[in-house]
Amino acid sequence: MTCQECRIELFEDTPGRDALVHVGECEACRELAREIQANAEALAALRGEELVARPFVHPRRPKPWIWGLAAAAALVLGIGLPRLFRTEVVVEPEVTPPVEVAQEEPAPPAPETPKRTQVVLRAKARPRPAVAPPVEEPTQPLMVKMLTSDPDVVIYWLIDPVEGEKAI
Amino acid sequence: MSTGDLVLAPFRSETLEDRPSFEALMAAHQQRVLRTAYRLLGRMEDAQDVTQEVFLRLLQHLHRVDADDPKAWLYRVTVNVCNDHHRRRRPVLEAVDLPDPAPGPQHALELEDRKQLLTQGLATLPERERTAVVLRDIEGLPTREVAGILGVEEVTVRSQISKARMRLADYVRTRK
Repeated sequence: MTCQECRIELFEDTPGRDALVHVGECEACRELAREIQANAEALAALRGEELVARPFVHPRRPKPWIWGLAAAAALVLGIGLPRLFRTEVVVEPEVTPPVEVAQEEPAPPAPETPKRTQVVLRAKARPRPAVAPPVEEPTQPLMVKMLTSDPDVVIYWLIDPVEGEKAI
Repeated sequence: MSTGDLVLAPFRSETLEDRPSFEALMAAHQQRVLRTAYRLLGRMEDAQDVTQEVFLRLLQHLHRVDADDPKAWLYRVTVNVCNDHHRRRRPVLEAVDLPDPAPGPQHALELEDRKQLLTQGLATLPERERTAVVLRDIEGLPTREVAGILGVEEVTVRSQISKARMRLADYVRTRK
């Protein structure tokens, strides 16, 4: 076996018998065999080196329930907030005072009560009717007192809403 | 028992509880993956990135990996991720910070010198040869297993390993 053939075999995992015989006879090939052996030991020693590992970072997993939670929160905010801060216009019913009519000196016309509109900001839990319920019509007869020039004579005028007017 | 009897082998259903946990697999194999990546890439930072990527894939494919022996799968994925890394970046040689050898026999000093030279020499090897020699000579895998991991014939692996050893020997000899 030549040195060239031996060299090729020495780099393999299991050199043949002829190569080993040649190594026993050839100083140069023996030196090469020692070199290869030392390299193999050094490479194997690299296996034992403890390297510093970086901590594994777990990937963030998407949580499907988070989208449901977000949708529910949006729904609550979308419906609840406007109801909480709603602006409501309440129109108070007009109050009509009873009319007192004098025969000779008619009382000056009652000053017209201005229609008041009040803007109320209030937190409400349940809806209320925007307009107050209508005032019930009086069922008793309307009495008009008329004064005359004679202080002893007073005329009372009763107006029955059903039957009509009647003077006493 | 007559020959017509049906013999049932003991059946063992594998449940999730039977499988080693991801953390256990990682603790057992992290050094192996990191070491292989470091020898293939030559830079610790890149090796740590690759290790993270490999275990991320393990986490994603845990149900498909043979949890009792994931070594081959891990090596294969490590090599693939390193190859992807190679395509993006040329391998570089990191200045290896070797510990000061303790005073002792001359052999230890020579061994440390040789390890440093071989580490440098690995970076000069062609990619396939480097992968083969790292798996065979550093990780100590049998040639057949290396061939399985790399998806090539055994004879091809033997040839690659032989060439790699030859180049490494030349590299060390010319620098000693």
